[in-house]
Order: sequence, then C-alpha cells, then structure tokens
Amino acid sequence: MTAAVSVRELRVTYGGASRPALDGVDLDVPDRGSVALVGESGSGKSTLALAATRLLDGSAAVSAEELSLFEADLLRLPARELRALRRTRVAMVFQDPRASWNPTRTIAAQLLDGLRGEARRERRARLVEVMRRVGIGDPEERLDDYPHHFSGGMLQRAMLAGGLAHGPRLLIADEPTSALDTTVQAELLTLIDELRVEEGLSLLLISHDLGVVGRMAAEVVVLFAGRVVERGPTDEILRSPQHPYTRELIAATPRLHGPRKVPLRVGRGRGPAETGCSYAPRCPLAVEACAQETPPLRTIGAVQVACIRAPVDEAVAG
Amino acid sequence: MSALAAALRERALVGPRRVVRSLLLVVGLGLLLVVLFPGLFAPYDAYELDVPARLQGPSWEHLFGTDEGGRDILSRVLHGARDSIGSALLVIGIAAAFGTLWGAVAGWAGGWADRVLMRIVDVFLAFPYLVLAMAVAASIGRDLRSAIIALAVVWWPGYARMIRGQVLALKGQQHVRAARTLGAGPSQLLRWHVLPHTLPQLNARVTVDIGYALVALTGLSFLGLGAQNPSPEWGLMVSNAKTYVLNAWWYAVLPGAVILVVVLYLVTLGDELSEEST
Repeated sequence: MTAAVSVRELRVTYGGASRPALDGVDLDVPDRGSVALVGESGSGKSTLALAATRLLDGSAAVSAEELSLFEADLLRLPARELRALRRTRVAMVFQDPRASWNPTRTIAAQLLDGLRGEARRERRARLVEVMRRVGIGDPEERLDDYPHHFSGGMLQRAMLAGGLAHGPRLLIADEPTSALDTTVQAELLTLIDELRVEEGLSLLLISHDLGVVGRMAAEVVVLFAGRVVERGPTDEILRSPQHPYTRELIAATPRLHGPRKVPLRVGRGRGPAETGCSYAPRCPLAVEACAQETPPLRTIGAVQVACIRAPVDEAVAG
Repeated sequence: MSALAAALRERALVGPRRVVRSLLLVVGLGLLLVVLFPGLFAPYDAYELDVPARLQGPSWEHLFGTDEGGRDILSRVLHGARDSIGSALLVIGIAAAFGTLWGAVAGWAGGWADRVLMRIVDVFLAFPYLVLAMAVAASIGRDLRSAIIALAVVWWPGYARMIRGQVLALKGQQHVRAARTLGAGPSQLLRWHVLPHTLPQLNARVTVDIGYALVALTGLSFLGLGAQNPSPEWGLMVSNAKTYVLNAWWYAVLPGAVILVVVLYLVTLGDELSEEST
C-alpha cells in the first residue's frame, strides 16, 4: 500500500529564528489512513502540514531525508509539477474560514481558478456538483455569492468543495473547526468523516481538541517544541498516555463530568529547554538526567514515546 | 442614538468631514472639465497676439491681465491646464503602472531576483530626483514629451518599492495560500489575490503624487527643459514672466498662484483619500 504522506527527519527553520520550528520529525499518513497532529500553539503542527505540501514560503529553510506525497519526491519535483500534484491530489481546509477567501471575488471565481482542462460550463457544472456534495443548498446561485454572504461553516464547506472538485486523495485539515460554534463544528466533522470514507481520502488533521482527535483519527502524533514526543494509535494514547506532556494535554481537556480540567502549565516565563528534553522545565517528573540529552523515541507497547521516565505509571509509582 | 451619530461621523457619512470631501470631489470634477475642455471656460484665445494690449494689469476685461504679446493670461492658464495637469497625470500614470509591475515581480519572485530588482530601484532612489530628471530631460530633447519621460523615469522606483512591500505582506496571507491549494497558478494569484489588495494604498499615493509631479513638471518647464513657447504651460509662463516681474507683477504672480492652489488641492485630496483607505 502506498503512503499518502511520508516524511523523514524533517527540519524547518524560519528565517531569523534561533531554533528550528521542526527538528527531526517523521510523519507517515497511510493511504486511506487518518492521522492527527496535536500539541499547543507553536509546537509545529501547522508548519509540519505546510512543509508536507511545500507550501511554506521562501523564508523557511526546509531539509529532510525524505519528503514525499504519494511517492512523488517533493524535494526534487519541479515547481510546475508540484503545483499540479497539489492541485490534483490534495485538498486543504484552514483554521480561519474568513481569512481563507479573497473578499473581492465570488466563490465561483475563486474555485474556477484551480480547475483546468474543460469548457467553462463543464467546470461550473462540476463545482455545482461538489457544492451539493458538501451540503450547500442552491449551489447554482450560491456560487455567484461573495464570501461575506457565507457563514463560517459554509465557507469551510465551500473550501472542501473546491478541494473535492479535483478528486483529491489527501485532505489536510488545519484546525478546521476552531473558529466555528459547536453545532456547526459537529456538522463539519461529520461531513469530513463521510467524505473520508466515501471518497477514500487520507486525512491529516491538526487539532488541539482531543475530543475531535479521538473521533476523527486512527493515529495521533503529539508534538512539543518541534519534536515528536509521542505517537501511536489514538485509543491507546487517549487511554494511557505515556509522555508527561500528553498527560498534561489530556488533563487540560474540558469535561462535562468528572474532574475539573487542569490548565496547561505554561506561562511561567520558561520556554522549552535548549538542551536535553525540551519539555523538562515544565515536567513534573523531570529528573537531572532529563537535561542531559534529547530523549529518543522508544517503543513501549503500541506507542512510541520520547521520555526517559516512561512508562509513566512506573515513574509515578516509583 | 448618540453612539450611532458618532459612528456615522467617524465613517464620515455625516458631519463636516463629509462636506469637505464632497467639496474636494466637486472641485476635482471642475478641474477635470477644464483639462478636457479649456475652450468652454476661457474667455479669449490662448495664442492670438494683440500686441497693443500688452502687459495690461488685471481688469474686468482681463481678470489676470495680459502678457507681453497682449494675450489674456487667464485664458492661457485655463488652456495650460491640459499641458500641466494632463502631463502630471501622464507622468504618474506611467510611473505607477511600471513601478507596480516591477515591484510586484520583485516581491512575488523573492530571492535573488528580488535582490537584483530592488538594488536597481535603490540606484534610482539614490539620486536627487529633480537633478536626475533634469539630466534625463536635457539629454533626450527639450520639449514637454521628454520632460514627461524624464519624470516618469525618476518616479517609478518609489512605486516599485511600495508595491513590493505590499506584495510581500499579502503573499503570506491565508487566502493566497488557500487559493494556491485550490490550484491557482502564480499569475492568477498575483492578478486576483494580491494586486487588487494593493489598490487602496496605490490610490492614495497616486493622488498625492500628482500634485508633486505638477510641481516637478512646471519646475522643469521653468528651467527651459519642458514645454517650449508658445505653449501656455504654467511653468513656462512663469519663466517668461521673469523679465517683466518688476513692472508687471500679475504676469508671474497669478499663474504661480494657480500652480500653488492646484498643488495644494491635489495634496489635500490625496491625504483625504489615504485617510479613507487606512
């Protein structure tokens, strides 16, 4: 089975930054698989998604041992073919629906830009079809509306439609529901899930909402300060997180019942550590050895963890 | 109620700002009419000599007096609007179009292409602009056309720099990235997703610059590097009046005052528009 996304040892450094935004990250999205990236702001989630499609602009230095989409080597692909690959294989939805649309042009005009090859009438017919597919009523008329006529949820649906029009195989959703209210969130997630199954899409989901992740993704990759700290099957990780950072994230999830959520232990004036485990300054389980060297990913049961104190249960007990 | 009134006032939908703006636009329309159809407003011909009536002071018959050829100065000023204001418009039109293209390419391409293109811009901006314009105008011929070309040559780099900055800021925006993921190519992105959003700033700059271009253009004509006799171009008229400044004050002062007022008007209009757009 071919992999949708395959990334090895990815490093990304933004121009002028003292430390890399991503430092030696591996990521695999299997064909028709679903992977979620979680982590707090600045952990590198979005950078990873953008780097995986080479959408970062020139100010970011990207290097990797491997960076491929559907086995096409993105590090060597000419710009024209790269654009074609992105257009035909990848659909993307971003966090802020308003910012994703050019306010000066109609929905149809913006979606038609990307469609190639057929007569204008056929391309438009295709748009009508995908708009209907994502649940937008009266697509014939709504296509000629401007973005400000649409609600946030509708704009996200239209963005999905634009991606679907090319018959993509990978959907990258960067916090697609963070800017929407709860009921619209649920509808959009259901739609994404349906599309994933029916169109046979692979999904790379970025979220800080573990509830969304638990529902949408089979696999989770937890990022902290540009490194993978834990990865594995979603059920496993949500049930028994091994890395203390993952535990912190889960404890910070709001709940209706049970214990109150615990705020993230951020904002004490300490950034990630320069040497050793970057999480050590915030870690309740940190010992002296944590500051010595960067912990490698170790396999514990079904998951991989980058923590010398894992498995955590023993560490807490001991 | 008062909150609504304040909001309307702030957006200049009512209140004194609105009056000022309307007035500015009405004056602009009038000016445009003069540029297009000076014959409708001028009481006399701009070129016909009437030597016996030379150098008469302002009177009801000749509001601005007459020049050394007995021509009505007011009529010449009105006819000269086309040469002066029209040429200033042309200068800025050429400079803005070329500069926008240059800056957009530089900002969009980035990397070494950007560096090379912007160093060229820096070279132009390093010269005092009027001196450079004089050198260019003098070397390609002493007429209005070469003055226009010379000023456009020194004026475009400012636009290139401004548009490059805008394009740099815009190209990282979410909607550009989103359009890219939807498959838009570079020319589509630039044409539809980036350049339209530079228009507000471009508009504001253009209106202010027309005033400055008018000063530069009349300056070149004054120095003999622009329009030539018998053109009623304003700078040339003031230049002709130098000889008579002691015994016919109106000949230099009144056309000069017209230049002053029109430039002030254009700069005020530009300021008003830029406040609108920011």
